[in-house]
Amino acid sequence: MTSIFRDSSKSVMGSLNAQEKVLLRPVMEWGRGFYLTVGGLAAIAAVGVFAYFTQLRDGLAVTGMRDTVSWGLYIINFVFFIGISHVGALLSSILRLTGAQWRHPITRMAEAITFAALLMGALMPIVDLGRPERVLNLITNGRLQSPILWDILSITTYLTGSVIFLLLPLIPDMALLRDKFANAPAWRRWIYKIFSFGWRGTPEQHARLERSMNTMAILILPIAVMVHTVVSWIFAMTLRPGWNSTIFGPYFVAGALASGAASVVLAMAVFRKMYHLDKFITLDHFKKMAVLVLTLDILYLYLNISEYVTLAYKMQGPEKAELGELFTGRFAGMFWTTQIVGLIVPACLLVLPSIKAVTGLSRIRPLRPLPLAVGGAILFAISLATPFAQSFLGTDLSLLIAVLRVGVLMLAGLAVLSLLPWLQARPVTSFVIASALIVVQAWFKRFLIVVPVMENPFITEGNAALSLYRPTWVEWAITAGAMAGFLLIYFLLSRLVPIVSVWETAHAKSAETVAGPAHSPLPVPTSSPEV
Amino acid sequence: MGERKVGRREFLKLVGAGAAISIVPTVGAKLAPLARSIFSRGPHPGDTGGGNHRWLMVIDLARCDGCGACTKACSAMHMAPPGQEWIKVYNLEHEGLAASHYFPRPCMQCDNPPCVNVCPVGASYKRSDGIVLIDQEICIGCRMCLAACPYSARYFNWTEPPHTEQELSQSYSVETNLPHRKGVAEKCLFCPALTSQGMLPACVSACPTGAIFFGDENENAVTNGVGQTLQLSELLHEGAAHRHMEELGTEPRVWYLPPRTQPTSMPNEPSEILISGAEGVRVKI
Amino acid sequence: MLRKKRHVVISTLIIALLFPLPVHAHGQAVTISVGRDGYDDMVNYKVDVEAGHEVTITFTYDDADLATDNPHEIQILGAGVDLPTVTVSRDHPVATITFTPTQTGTLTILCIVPCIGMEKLVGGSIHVVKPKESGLSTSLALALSPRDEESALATVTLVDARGDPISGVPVTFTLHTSVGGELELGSPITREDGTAVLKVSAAPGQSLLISAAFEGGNGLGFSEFSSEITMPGDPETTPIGSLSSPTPPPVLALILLIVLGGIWVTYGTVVYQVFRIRSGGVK
Repeated sequence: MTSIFRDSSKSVMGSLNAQEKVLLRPVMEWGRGFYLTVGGLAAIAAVGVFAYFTQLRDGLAVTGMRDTVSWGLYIINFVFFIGISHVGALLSSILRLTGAQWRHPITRMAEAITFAALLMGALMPIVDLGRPERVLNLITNGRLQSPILWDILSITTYLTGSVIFLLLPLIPDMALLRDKFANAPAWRRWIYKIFSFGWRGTPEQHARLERSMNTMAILILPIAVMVHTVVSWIFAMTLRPGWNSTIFGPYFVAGALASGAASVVLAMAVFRKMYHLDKFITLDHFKKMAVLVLTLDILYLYLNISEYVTLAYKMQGPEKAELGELFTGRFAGMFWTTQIVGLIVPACLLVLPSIKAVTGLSRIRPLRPLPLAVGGAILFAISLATPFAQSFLGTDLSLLIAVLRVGVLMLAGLAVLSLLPWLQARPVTSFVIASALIVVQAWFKRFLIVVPVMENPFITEGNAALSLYRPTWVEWAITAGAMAGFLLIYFLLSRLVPIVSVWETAHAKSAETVAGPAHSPLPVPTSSPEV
Repeated sequence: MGERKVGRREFLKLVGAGAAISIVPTVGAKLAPLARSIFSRGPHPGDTGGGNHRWLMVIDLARCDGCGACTKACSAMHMAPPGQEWIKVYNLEHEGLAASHYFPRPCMQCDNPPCVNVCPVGASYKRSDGIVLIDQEICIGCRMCLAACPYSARYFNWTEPPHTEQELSQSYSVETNLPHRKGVAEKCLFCPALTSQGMLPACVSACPTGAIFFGDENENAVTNGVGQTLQLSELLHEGAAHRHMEELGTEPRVWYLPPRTQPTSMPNEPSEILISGAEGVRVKI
Repeated sequence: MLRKKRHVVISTLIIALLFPLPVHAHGQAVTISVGRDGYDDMVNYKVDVEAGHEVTITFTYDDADLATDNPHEIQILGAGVDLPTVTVSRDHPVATITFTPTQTGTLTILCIVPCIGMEKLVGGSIHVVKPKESGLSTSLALALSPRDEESALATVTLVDARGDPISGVPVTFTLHTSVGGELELGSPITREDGTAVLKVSAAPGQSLLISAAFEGGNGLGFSEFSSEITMPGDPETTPIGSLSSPTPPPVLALILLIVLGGIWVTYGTVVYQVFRIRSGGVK
């Protein structure tokens, strides 16, 4: 299906400058890709809705939650989404207050993430309720001493602030669309007219806008910190071993900022590809974001170490069982993967482009990923077959198996090393992989915060099998539906309004042409670069 | 130009905040009665008010043999949904060389109840007679109370509980939590429907060894199901009673006598000490 | 003297009406109907039997008028007895149990299966008492008065049929608790003037139901008396902390109001700015 606007918009597009053409094309042209994406995401979200109706009909027994583990995937999703939503505060607020000019192309994608994530995040606890039809009791019977009430108050406050902070810088772009996108359908024209608030670009209006944005920037940061702190307090205000920790406020806020910043890097990469925004989202932006993500990643790693090392040193009675499960028990795989692959490896990937020694590695001839991987696979296959040979031949081949295993590990390590120069030459790929790992780690880390603690209360069931948590299809479907819903809202926003702020980037670009580019030169890579 | 205006506003906000913070305590104290009258909510269905009692329970771990009659009687009487044991008998194991012992765990009806503190809608509430009740007409099923209770004493109706005609014919009362409904929290209530009639809770009556005592702190007397009534203060003092995990600050109202009692005579009771070398020491008091 | 006797009669009548006194069953054969309204249709069923004699209890099924069967399995628990359960149902409307209680005390009768009316069938009691001495009639009068904030005085006067005081004999005081327990408070010996006094610790506002009993012996008969007072003062109830109360502590509410109120007011100023933008531009 070709764009129904293409012909008519050609004449409209003619009145736009080059920059506006690129940025407004996704808004003005809704092609086949658009409808396919929306359709696909909506389908997944619909599966989630269907699962929820099953839960409404049969009760929460359709989930894997029971009296021992009474909070599960829904609360995990809630904390995850609220965490991701902190990116808006980070970019729009902190970067604005520190005067970082490079933020302009990405502030709107960040604020949009905040908006979509807050919507989905606020939905999750309602999905989790046993009597959702009584949700208004929270207002009529609300008790201010409850951490859940603090959650509600702070999340609604943050959502309102985010909406305001999303709409404010949108005003000039809405005006642009109002003026230049005459062929839009009536409902979109109406949106652009309303939300442009009569913008004409006068100095007085600019002054008011700047003032409002300054106010919101100062306000939104403490609100964001407050939000995730009170979210952490639904855990930290209980006595459960593993949750009864004073560090939870800063812990959760740091995790939120890290996962939020990482999600913006992902959004940057995706939109750059999808909407051809290479001129606006440059390598320099990725590098600056990489510094941010790295800092927050290291900070979160530090807080993780703080929390777990102080607990592990003492192995206090009730915590012993829970820590055992985390370090060497059922959750050991998830725990060590989130810490190493989810936090340490991304940190390495993020600093990779700056490590000069890595470029030297590519000069070592044998160090090529493919031969090493093939060699490792062969050795692995032999090590699997050897036990059969052992029983067949009757001789003791365990030494051979051990040697083969060591060999596999060595070749795997070398293969990873050989990948490093390749990654270094593709810094954006590095950063994207690192960010993806951090975002996925964030979800599983929330799982590790909720589930192992609930499986190990003070007074445990004798029968361990009864207290294990196994999420059911309903919970997974609703989780997938929530993720799809988040992506759907985000995607629709990026098509309704330009995802890169037109007026702010024009503003910045003009400042840049006067002052000169602000990035530093890179080491020249040997293989083909990806700018 | 924008910067200066922001600076002035910031300063004014700081001054205002400072003034507000300094008058908060005084104004707060004055407003307390007013707030209480504005925010007071209606009575809970079936709540008879509890009278001038301060109920508590004393469980003699030396007498508990783990038979589970208390659980059966409670579940039968309250038609507890399947899987819920409002009084649950654990076999509490200790690390290392200490022996395990049976541990009946009702709701502790704490005086600083974490479940009441965290309830966002006030469905869980503390009554003046010491019992923590649940108003299941208000409960939204968020399960924050299940997360907050350190004694694992709370349960949740994950599905619609099975009903009998008799159960459905009753109108809802917070003193019975009948009829049960899905999506709300449940727990031991110290049988207010029975105690308001001068009877003992079901678990107390049903215990064949008389391990569970129940009574009014004001009367300084506790009674068990085999007809023994003892003076509370003496029992707690002589028996070296403790409360489970009281270092958590929950101030539970259930006292436990240690699993091996001191061979001392209780007031008003004939004491018999049976010591049999072959079977080990059995102390009957 | 006459007024005092009328006092005694009226008080006894009132107490007998308000508090179900045990049914004296010398014959040691008791019949109890078991149904959804309780034992003998009573909520707090009590019966007295004498220690050392064989007791036969016949339970009868009282729920025949129900459409469905409502079986009850009755267990008798107590010190010194180890009895099997008996079941009454529509098909077995009568069940008997015979035993000889050796110790004095209270035995509990309860139904241990889920049945309609179970909440009325968990608290029946059998009082096993020492056989009441018969002999010359004696009479007891009990007076309760608050002593100070924490205690009350129970004064008993024991006289014989002629009104002469009986001295040098023990009188047992028992506190009847609000859950049907009976706590022995003490057994002071009567003095020359036939009186005995016991100090009873009590809480402010507490209702005390105390009975005094003279066992009899040496040719004198049994007598008992119950009396009740309410201590002065406000009863103590468990205090409810500010975190646990249904209304928020005012300091918390004020802080939230100020912080959140400040934020929302600031939102308001921003929205105002937006409206000023609008009024300064295209309509």
